[in-house]
Amino acid sequence: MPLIKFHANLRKITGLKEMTIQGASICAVLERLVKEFPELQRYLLEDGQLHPHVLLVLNGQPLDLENDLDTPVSGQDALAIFPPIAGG
Amino acid sequence: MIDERIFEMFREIGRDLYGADMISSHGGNLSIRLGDHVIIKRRGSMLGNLKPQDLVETRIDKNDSGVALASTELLVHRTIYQQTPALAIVHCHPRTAIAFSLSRDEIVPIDNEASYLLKKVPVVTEEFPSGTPQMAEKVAQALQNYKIIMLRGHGSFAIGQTLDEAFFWSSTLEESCQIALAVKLINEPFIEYRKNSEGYGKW
Amino acid sequence: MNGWSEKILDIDLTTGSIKTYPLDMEMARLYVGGRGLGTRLLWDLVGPQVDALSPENLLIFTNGPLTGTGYQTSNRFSVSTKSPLTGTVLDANSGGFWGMQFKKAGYDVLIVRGKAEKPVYIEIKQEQVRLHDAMELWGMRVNAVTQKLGQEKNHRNVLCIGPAGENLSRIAAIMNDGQRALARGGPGAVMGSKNLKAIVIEGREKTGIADQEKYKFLVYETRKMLAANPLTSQALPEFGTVVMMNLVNNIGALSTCNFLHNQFEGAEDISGETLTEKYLVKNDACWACPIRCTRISKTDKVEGEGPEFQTTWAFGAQCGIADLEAIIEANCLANDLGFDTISAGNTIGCAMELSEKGFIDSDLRFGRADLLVRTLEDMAYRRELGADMAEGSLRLATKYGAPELSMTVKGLEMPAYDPRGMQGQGLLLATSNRGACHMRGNMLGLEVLGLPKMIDRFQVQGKSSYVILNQNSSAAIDSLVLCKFTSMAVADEYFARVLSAVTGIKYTTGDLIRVGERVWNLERLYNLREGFTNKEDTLPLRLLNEPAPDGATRGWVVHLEPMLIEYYRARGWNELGIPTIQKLVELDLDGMQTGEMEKKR
Repeated sequence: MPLIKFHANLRKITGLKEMTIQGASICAVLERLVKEFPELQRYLLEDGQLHPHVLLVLNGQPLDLENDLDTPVSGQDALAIFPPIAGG
Repeated sequence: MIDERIFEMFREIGRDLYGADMISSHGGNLSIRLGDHVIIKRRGSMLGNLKPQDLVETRIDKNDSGVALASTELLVHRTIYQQTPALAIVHCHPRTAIAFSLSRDEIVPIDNEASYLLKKVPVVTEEFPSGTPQMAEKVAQALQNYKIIMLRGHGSFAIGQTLDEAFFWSSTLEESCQIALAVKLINEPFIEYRKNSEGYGKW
Repeated sequence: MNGWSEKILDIDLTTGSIKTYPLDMEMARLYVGGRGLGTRLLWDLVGPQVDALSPENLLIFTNGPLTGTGYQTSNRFSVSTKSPLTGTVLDANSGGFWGMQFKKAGYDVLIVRGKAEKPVYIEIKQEQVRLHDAMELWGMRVNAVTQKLGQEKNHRNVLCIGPAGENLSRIAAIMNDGQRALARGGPGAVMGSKNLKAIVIEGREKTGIADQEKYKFLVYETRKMLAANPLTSQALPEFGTVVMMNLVNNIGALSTCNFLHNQFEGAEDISGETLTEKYLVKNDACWACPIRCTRISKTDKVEGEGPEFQTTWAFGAQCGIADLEAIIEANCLANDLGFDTISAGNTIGCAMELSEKGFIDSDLRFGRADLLVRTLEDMAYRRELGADMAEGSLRLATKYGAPELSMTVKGLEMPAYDPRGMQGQGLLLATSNRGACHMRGNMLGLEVLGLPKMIDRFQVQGKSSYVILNQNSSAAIDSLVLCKFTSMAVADEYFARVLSAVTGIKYTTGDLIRVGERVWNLERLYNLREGFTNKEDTLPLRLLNEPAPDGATRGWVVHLEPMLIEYYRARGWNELGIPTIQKLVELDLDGMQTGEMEKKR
């Protein structure tokens, strides 16, 4: 089961900094997350699609949202989810 | 050697353009700027079905061996890169937008998305609207201040930092024109729902 | 008079003369304001023979035609000078309220020349400009001076230096409104070298706007864009810039312990999330800004503005420190003493490595959060090792025999972002005209955030065009002068139209970017004239030769050479990085070459 890390306001919503969850692909993991924390829906999804400003980082590599949603994941993997953030 | 990721980008946008009926089998063009080079479609290839050998790399400012194979519209693309901050160009033939371009000098969207994103799309006109220096100049000039313009009767030229972006403007324009066409068919009084909407026409 | 006030205020501290004269409007049209105008004037007035800390160097404060209009973030202003740290052209800009007041006082430019015999401060109340004795103020810290001189947010604003600037630390900042900074490159030392303690300003003038209707429309559209964009409407107001810490660390681009590592175990402890959870009092904003990215943080010992991401990194990961409380306290102190926090923290990290490796005899070690306060004070007052550290990390490391341990480009300390994990950022930092700077273009959007689109951060081919557009666009915004956070939500075509609506002069989007390109090339010419060459377009050896050890970036170095070759060509420069005649003509810069450059062609 991959490790999921939450950042910024996602922590408030889930009440967690990190957790493990079932899912064989990125897509499956996200679906599960939204099921478990329905409030995540509006941060992760927009019109049924992945929100364009959400940032998913798999094992330190930012994912290209269009192409990488089917990427398989396993227990060795860590997926960090960042809502839209910015800085200097 | 053109990077595989770059080819993928071209292939996908080309396929999406064809699928959205925004180009004919061999029409339209895509290019990006890489440093002082341009990557553009090979002459005679099909955007809807690109193969790796369909992309050509050539210099922005002068001719080299790549030029023999590059699209006939290379001049326009080069001129745009030399005169505007564009890093990517999508040129396509959006049907409804072209239809509107035949009877007006600017297209001012009335739907929410396009008025927010595009505000106004100027129409430029050129006698021989294909591959001439005059046309290249006119198009590049217009793109200095707008991210998408229409060449009357011919098609749209959109610029952006990425092909994605330029495609976004093109697709938004066509969607907007289709909505405007439907409004004409429905033919009922327009209820203005946007604040400060007079500003769009003056963009 | 629309946009510009069309007036320059020129004060000579040596003679005490105070003059005003008209701004050259042809120059204004080409360079607009802020960084552009400041650089152009600097080119004319401060040549290679001038020492940065001598009376012949100038402080050229500028605002822009949009400043004071009330357009979103139209509060910023700029200072141009020759940098005492790097010797390059320098501009630094700052927010808050002083810039708005500067414009209201009725001037586009304030030139300060010479050196006062004894400490003075300048008081500007519109046309009434006076020099006052500042003996009593000399030695006072920034907060105290700011209060003493009657700082009142919207009406009377104070700009000053602290002990760091007074003691000519080459990494000293000029502070305004108490806790805002014109920081990088050491402009505080220039001000200190002139015996100028502060500039107090009051004004009443309104900025003229040529096309009110269009202007109002643009304000409305900008408001919509800022509100719709989650970065400017949620992320920045809620978490401030420190929210970047976890993200940058996660991908392995958070330089740690003087760039020995590129990931920090303690990142979570000094993250924006932790700041918000434990120490945040509220957010705050500069004048006319709806984004509100400012933090007000509080510990048992201090309460103050910040810390920003860069500061938190500089006193944090760069020094191996995971104690956020200590970092907040260091930030407040650094502001009060008047330091560039990036250079200060980076230099301390450098000193820590020098110390651990035995080049310096000191108790500084990575992780020693307890030494931050003492070290900063030593630096401000030039006590013991602090005297060497006040010179910046390059002079420090060179003096003690290990210049390669200074993480600088052209002498300016590097910010957070290990470029081994962001190749385009590496190119950008190596080619930035004022030295390693992330505010003169930033590849963060493209290489990390995916805005507007994710570009592979390890890709090398083709990066140069993005970097160049970034740099040009950035320079244009610095010339308006607006805050770069607006540009995260608002496209350049809006800025071009606002500029046109306010000034009544037509600028297309292309024209505006060209202003940026012009400024960039002029800065390049300035540095060439000073004797810089393409050899200085480089990065610390560590980043070119030592593979990154950690995380997803492990194994990478920066492949600068191929990017640089492509960059020069794409910019229209020759292989030595010198702008070609053709490029200069295109940018209305012909006639600016010097004899030296002609020979190299």
